[in-house]
Amino acid sequence: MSRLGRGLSKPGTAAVGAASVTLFVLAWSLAGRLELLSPLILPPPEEIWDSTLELLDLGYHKTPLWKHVGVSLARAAAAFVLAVGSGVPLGLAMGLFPVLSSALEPFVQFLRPLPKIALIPLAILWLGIGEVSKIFLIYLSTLFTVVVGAAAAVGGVGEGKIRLGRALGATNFQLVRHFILPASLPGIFTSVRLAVGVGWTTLIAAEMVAAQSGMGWMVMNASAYMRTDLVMLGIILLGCTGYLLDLLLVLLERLAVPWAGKE
Amino acid sequence: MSATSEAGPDGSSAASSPDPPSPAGGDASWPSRPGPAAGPGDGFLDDGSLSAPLGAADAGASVVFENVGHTYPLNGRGRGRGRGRGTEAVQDFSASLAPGSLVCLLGPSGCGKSTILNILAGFERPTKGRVLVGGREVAGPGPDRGVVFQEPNLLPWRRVVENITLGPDLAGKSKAGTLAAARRYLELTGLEGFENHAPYELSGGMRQRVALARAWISEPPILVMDEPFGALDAQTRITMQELLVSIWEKTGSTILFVTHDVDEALFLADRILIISPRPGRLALDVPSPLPRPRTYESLVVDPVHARLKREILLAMRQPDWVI
Repeated sequence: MSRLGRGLSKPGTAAVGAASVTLFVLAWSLAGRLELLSPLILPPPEEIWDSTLELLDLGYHKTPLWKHVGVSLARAAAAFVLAVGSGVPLGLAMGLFPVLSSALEPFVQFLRPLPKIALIPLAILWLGIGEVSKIFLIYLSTLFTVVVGAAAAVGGVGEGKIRLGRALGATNFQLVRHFILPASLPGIFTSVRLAVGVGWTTLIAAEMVAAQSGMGWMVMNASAYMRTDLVMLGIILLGCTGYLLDLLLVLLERLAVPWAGKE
Repeated sequence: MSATSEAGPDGSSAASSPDPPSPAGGDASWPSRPGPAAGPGDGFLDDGSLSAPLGAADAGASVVFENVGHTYPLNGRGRGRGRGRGTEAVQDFSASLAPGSLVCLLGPSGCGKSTILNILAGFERPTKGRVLVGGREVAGPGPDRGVVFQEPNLLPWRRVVENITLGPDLAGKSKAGTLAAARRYLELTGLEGFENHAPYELSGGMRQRVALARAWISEPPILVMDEPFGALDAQTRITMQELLVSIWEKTGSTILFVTHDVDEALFLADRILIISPRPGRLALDVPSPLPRPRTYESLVVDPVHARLKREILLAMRQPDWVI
């Protein structure tokens, strides 16, 4: 890992990380106790902890806290599954067939950097204010990163591998199945990780669409009532869940492509 | 035209002279000039089938380059409908390789020797002339011509043994037979015990051995090798060269081996084709009179070897090359 300086052992890395987080929380707490900042601007961690216990007990707007987390996760997961399920094949096809790539490239490059929040009015108009439009927004913000990443992964398969396959008499199907697809997998995983990160950030925007639950909605709603503690709680929950999602993907990647980066 | 024209794809100028042209001891016969005189009367494999039986002693096929030329197009869009010059990599290259011979293409980097090899492998189409394998024109890559690349080019998602059986697996051969053959080549290449390793767990030399076994398991009549040992350390390279010769003697494939290393060419080859700097032309056609088995220890004290090496080194020093 280390390019400069000495590397750390695995437990060492974890210990340093834990220590820096603890230190940060302690400093934050101290700032609260010394009343350096108004709790309205930055509530101390103890207050957030108390609100968390309260929310666990009573729920937020009559919905239990775990359900807010669950609802958000379910929306995001549905969108991610759809995006990967459609984006990977589409990206592969674009990587394999230049004509298709040329035909779709303008649309992909137009939509990919487009702020998806701008699509909220259209999403409501076309799909209503139910779950579908929320999933649609997260889906769109995830899809194009996956498509571009998968197409680039195919393009990045070494000429040597293709030549090897041809020299061994592989048919076009075999070339895709035994050479191009496995060789693109590490790149596809990287793009899915990136895409999930982008998609997760769109959750708040998606839950601005007439939602009644979810972490993103909770943050927006709490801010309307000046409940900064709950805004902070929502942010922490969003951050932690996003982090866990990424860890899950890293784990999946290790299982699926143990050779990644080892060639 | 050259010698190659008298042995067309139809004409089986059936095996008159056997293997590589053996100079009759005297120095007079080498180095011989390229051209009509140099073409040995090839024995074509005229049974038409390129798939020789496993382990057959003389399984190699003939290879004929007929006035092969290759010009790479200019990068980007040249004006006037690609009428630009482009880069001429190979110019009017003609040579016939006898079945079962081990021929080295020797020349400096960028001289077009890899292009010649890629044309035989079918990765590049010649822009002029044609290449015949066993009397048939090469139209693209195929399993009748095994390829060993500069890099091992192994598939990291397959274990060592699965890399070796890649060709037969793609051809849909039976698992049992394939595994038996794989075991044989694991043994020949000294890779027993590593069959279940991942490629990235092996050293550079072992990886290239896997690549050799992968090319050899299908026992193709032709093997093309593009500086396969260039990246290895000197010690490993010698071991690999000895391994190459020992397996070649068992399988009898025709081998076209590209190298820029004079010693490697002298150790391996029946015949050395020296290619001039770009555009690559046949500068010198040198049949090797060195007896087999060869070892570096014996070659180093062999006066014939010394003279031959001197001749080659001098030839490669010529400012204008084509002699």
